[in-house]
Amino acid sequence: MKSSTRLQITVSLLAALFLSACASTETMIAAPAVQLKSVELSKIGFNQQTFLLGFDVSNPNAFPLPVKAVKYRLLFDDKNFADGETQGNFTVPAHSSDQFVLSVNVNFLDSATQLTSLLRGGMPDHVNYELQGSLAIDIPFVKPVPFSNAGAIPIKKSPF
Amino acid sequence: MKHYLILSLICTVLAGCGGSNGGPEEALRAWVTAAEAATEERDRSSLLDMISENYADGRGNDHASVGQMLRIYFLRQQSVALLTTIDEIVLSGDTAAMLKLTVGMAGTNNSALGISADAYNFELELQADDDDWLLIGARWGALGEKLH
Repeated sequence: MKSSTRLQITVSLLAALFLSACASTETMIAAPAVQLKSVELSKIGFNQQTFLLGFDVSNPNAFPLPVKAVKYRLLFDDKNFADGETQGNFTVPAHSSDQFVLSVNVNFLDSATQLTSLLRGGMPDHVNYELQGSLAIDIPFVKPVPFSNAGAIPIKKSPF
Repeated sequence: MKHYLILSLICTVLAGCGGSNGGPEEALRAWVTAAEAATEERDRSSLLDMISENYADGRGNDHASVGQMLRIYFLRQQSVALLTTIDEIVLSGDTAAMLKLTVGMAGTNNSALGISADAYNFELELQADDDDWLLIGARWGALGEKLH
């Protein structure tokens, strides 16, 4: 067999393999929907303020999703408000939803977010938010599942 | 004379076959091979048959939830290819064993699949039930991570 013919066959086989791999590139897990449901200013200190961020996560899959960590980035009025990663230990049932709460510490003196400016001028009723992140699923070989969401949210203030 | 020679050869071969039944360790290696084959063939039912009804692990999983976990791998139309290495077999008598495995998934490096190609370490607890070994517990973690 000529070397050019052999090369053609090899390339054809590789292409066939590649195409068959592409045909099966369906994600294992349908992305869960994560929504910011509440923002509560729970503690005001001189150097630090604590916000409680409440989230709803709904699982569209036919199996429960055990979540071991939540990575998030939250923007208020297009400005970064909080980001980080927190260890989670909850399971979202199949075709159902669950809630989780993140406690976020913010230093107004160091922060220059739009929300900070707004809060300095008085508590706003609503703020526009954009949420991005991923859920680390506690199942071997499953990659973190990304989520994103945007909307407007009222800000509550706890009675101190 | 020729017949005696053939007969003795057959006996030797049969004795050799009997001797190849290497006891629990060989049975456990066969268990791993069977589990790997069932996974690659997406045979969830056979895999579940290898797991004890009394299965429990530190994550709170039982037989049913492991079944649901397996569903994730097999629900979608995709192939699963495993690269399994038995790192250690620890026997406790003839009826209990712990297997330490390193498992990687091959051919799944396309991120669209949502699968990490990283390898995982597993510690499997098995118990002999008559002639079968059944999985009764497991701990796992990505390579370099603590197992739990």
